[in-house]
Amino acid sequence: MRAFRQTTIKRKLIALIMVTSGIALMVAFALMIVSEYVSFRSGLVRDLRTLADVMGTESRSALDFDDAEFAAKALAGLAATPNITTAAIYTKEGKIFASYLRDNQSEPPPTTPSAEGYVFKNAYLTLFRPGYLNLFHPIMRDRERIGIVYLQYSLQEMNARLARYAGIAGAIVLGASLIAFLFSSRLQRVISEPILSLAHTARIVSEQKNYSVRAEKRTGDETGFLIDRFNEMLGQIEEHEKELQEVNEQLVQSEQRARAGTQAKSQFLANMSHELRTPLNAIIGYSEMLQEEAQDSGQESFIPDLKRINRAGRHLLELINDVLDLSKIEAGKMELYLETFDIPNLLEEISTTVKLLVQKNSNTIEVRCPANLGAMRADMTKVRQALFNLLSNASKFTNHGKITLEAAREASSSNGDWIVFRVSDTGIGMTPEQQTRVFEAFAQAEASTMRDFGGTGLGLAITKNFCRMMGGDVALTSEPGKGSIFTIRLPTEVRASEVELEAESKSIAAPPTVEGKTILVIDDDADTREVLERFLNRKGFHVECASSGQDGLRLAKELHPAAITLDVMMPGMDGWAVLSALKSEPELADIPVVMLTIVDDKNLGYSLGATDYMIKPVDRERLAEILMKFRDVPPPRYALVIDDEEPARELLAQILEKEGWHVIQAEDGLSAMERMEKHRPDLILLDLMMPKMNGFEFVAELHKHDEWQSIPIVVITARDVTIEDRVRLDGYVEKVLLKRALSEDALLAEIRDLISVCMQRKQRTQNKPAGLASTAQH
Amino acid sequence: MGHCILFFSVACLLCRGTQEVLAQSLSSREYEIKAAYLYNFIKYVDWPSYGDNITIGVLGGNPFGTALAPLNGKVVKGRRLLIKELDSLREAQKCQIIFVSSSEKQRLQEIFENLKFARVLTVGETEGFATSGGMINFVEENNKVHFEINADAARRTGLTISSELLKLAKLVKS
Repeated sequence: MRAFRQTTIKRKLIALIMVTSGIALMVAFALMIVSEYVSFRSGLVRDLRTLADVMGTESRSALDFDDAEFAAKALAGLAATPNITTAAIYTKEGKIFASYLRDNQSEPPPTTPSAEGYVFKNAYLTLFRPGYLNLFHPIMRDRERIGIVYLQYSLQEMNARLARYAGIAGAIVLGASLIAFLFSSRLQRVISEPILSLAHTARIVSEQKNYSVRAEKRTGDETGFLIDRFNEMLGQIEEHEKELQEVNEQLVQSEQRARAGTQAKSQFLANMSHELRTPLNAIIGYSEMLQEEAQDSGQESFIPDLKRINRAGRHLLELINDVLDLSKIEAGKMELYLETFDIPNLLEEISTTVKLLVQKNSNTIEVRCPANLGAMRADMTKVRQALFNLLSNASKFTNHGKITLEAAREASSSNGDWIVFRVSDTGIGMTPEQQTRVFEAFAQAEASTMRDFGGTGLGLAITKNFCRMMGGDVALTSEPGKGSIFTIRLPTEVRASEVELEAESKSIAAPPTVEGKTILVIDDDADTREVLERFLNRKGFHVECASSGQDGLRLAKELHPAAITLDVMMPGMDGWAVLSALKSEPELADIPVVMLTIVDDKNLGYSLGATDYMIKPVDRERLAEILMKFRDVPPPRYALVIDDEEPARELLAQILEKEGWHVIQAEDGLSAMERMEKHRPDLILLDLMMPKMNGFEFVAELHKHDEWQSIPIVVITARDVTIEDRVRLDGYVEKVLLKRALSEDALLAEIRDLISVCMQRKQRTQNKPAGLASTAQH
Repeated sequence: MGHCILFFSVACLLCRGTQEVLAQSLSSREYEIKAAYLYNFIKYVDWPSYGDNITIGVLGGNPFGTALAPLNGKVVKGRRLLIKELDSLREAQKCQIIFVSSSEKQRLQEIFENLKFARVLTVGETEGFATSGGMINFVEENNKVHFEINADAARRTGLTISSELLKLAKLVKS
C-alpha cells in the first residue's frame, strides 16, 4: 500500500480503473456461474426424478409379476441417456430386482437402497457426490410403495460445462481488462495531465526560482480551478518578489547612505573635538603661564585679566566637551574603557580638583569615605566626570553652604556589590516638578538659571547616561530651600557589553606612589626622618618613612622602593637584622640599601649586602647623588615632542624645560624620525593627528627599529580616543593623555610619574649588573 | 388397520415365496404363485361395473388347495375379495374372475359360450385356453410361470386389460 501511495498519479488512475472494472466483471461472472450451477442442479434433479418415475411405472407390473427380465430390458432403455451410468430397481423389501450398468467402468448399484450413510425411506433421495448424482425414487401404486428406482447420474458433463464457463469468464475478464487498460491509459490523461503539468510548473518554480512561468489550464473542473489559483499565487509571489527586491535595493542604498552619514558625522565629531580643543588648550595653557610670568616679573596688574581669559577658556572647553559628549551618547558612539581603580584615591583627586570651584561660592566640601573601601572596576574617566558634574552642580546652586561627597559599598545578594556615591548640598533645592526635568538634556531648573548660574545644563544628562552605560543609575531627592542629594549607584564590577572592547587594565592606573621614585627612610629618630624627607622631596624623590625595623620591612614589601636608607642603631630590630632580612627575601634582595649610621663598620655592612655606607652626619648632596643612581637616567635628558600645532608643542616644551629636560621638537612623524637619527630621546610626547606621518604610523614605524623600542611614548591628544585606537596603541604606548581632561599641573604630574616609571623599569633591567659590580668594588 | 397388517404380511410372504419357489422347484409352490397372480390381475383389469365385492370363482377341481384361502376377505380396489368354488356355470356369471381348472378341459367351449356376455375375466391353465376364447392362460416356461393373454376376448366382453399387463404377456388371438 505504501508503494502504491508513492507511485505516480497516472499509474494510480490506471490501477483504480483496472481494479474496479476487473472486480465488477469477476463478481458478475461468479454470480452467473453460481446461478447457472444452481439452476442446472435443480433442473437435473427434476429431470432425473421424472425419468425415475417413468422407469418405476414401466417396471410396476414386472415387479408384480416377478418379471426381472422385463425390468432389466426396461432399464436397458436408459442407454439413450448417456449421463446415466448406473440404474437399478429394488423390490419393496430393498433387494436388487434388476440393474443396469452403462459400461465396465460404471459403479455397480448399492446392494441396499442407501448411499453415503443415507438410507432410503419413503420420499425420494438425491445425493450429490463428487462427479455423481445419486437418486432413489419410490415406485408407487395406490399410495403403496412397491419398489425403488435407483439412478446414478454422472456430473462430468456439468462440471465440464462449469469449467468451460469459468474459462470463458476468465478469458472475458482478461480481454476486458486489456481493453480497460488501453482505454484507461488514454482516459486517465484527462485527469492526470493537468495535474502533471501543474507539478512540472511547480518544480520549475521551486528549482529555478522562476516566478514568471504559468501552468497551462486545460479543463474547467476543480483541477482547472486549482491551476488558476496556483497561477494567481505565482503572480502574487512574482509581484512580491519584485517589490521585495526593490525595497531591498532601497534598503541597501539607504543603509549605505546612513552609514556614510554616520561615518561623516563621527568623522566630523572627531575633527571638531580636535579643531576646537587644540586652540583652546593653547589659550588656557598660555594664560596660565602668563599668569606665572606676570607674577614673577611683577606685572601683577595683568593677572586678573589673564585669569578671566583662563576662566573663559576653561568654561568654553567645558561646554564643548559636554556638547560633544552628549552628541556621542546620542549617536551611541560613547564607549566604555574599563579599568580597576582605587575609590578613595579617586575621591581624593576629585575633591582636590573641585576645591576651587567649591570655594567660589564660599562653600566647604567634606569627603566621607571609609579607608578600606577598596577598588572598583569601571570607566574611571566617566565616574570621575559624573562625580565632577554633580559636585560642580552642587557648588553652583549652593551659597555659604556645605557640600558632602560620600562613598560606600552596598552589599547585594543577587549580582555583586554596588558602590554608592552620594553628593549632597545645602543649596536652593528643587521642586518636584523641577526634579522630573533635571536629568533631561538642555533643561535646567529654570530657563533663566543658565544665565544666572552658567553651564550648559547638559552635565546631569551626561551623568545619568554614563551611569546607565555602566549598569547603574543616578537618583535625586530634593526639597526647595533645603538642598539636594544626588545618589549614584554603580556595580562594583561593571561588565562590558559585547560590543565594547575591554581594555586591559594596566599598572598605569595604580596609585601615583609608584616604586620608581620612592625612597624608604628607616630611622628611629623623628628629626632625622624629617630632615631627610624634606631634602629628598626637594630633590624630586617621594619619601616614605618607617620608625622601626619591623615597620621598615613591612613598608619595603608594600612599596618596593627604589632605594632604602637604613639606620643601624634602633630599638628592637636593629639595622643589621633589617639588612639581613631584606637580603634574604628574594623580592626585596635587589633593592639597593644605603646604610646611614654613626656605627663605623663598613665591612659588616657590605658583607651583609649593603650597597653603600655613609657615616652620620650625612653629606646630603652625596646622598642625593648616590640615590639618583637608583632613580632616573641622569640629566641632561632628551624629550622629543611631536605635534603639528606649534602652540601646543611650545607649551609642552616649556613645561618640560622647566623640569630640566632638553626638548627636541618635530611637527610630524617624518621629521621626528629624522631628528631621532641624530639624538636618541629618552621620552617621546606624541600627538596623534598630524599631516604626513600621523601618530599611529609613527608608533608603528618606531617599532621597526630595535634600538628605539624601549623609548617610552606618551600620547597627548585632543582627539577623542576610541577603544579601537587604544587597542592599536596598546603595548606600544605608556599612556594616552587627553589634552582636555588635564590642567597643566595634572598633565605634568602624569608625565613625571610615567617617565619615572619607565626609566626605573629600564634602569633596572640595564643597571642591575652595574649595581652588583659597585657592591663588589667596595 | 388389522387388514392392512394382514395384507402386508401376506404380500411379503407371497413375494418371498414366489422367488424362493421359482429358484428351487416350481411344482411345490406353483399354485401359491398362481394365486398371487390372480390377485395381481385385479389391479391391471378394469371391469365396466363392480358390485360390493370382487369374487374369484374356481371352476372345476380346485388345484390351489389352501393357497387361495388367505386371499378371501382381502380388500382390493376398495372392495372385498371373495373366493368361491363354483358348482355351476350360472354361478360363474356373477364372478369377476373365474379360474378354469384343467379338469374342465373338455367343456371349454361350453363355458366360453355361456359366459359370452358375462363380464368375467377367464383365467385357465390349459394349453390352447387363450386361443380358444379364454382371456388369460398360465403357461410354464423355463421353470417359471408366464401367461398368455387374448386381449380381443377380454375386449369383447367389455373388460379392459392394462397395457402394463399386456407387455408382460404373450399375446394370442382366437
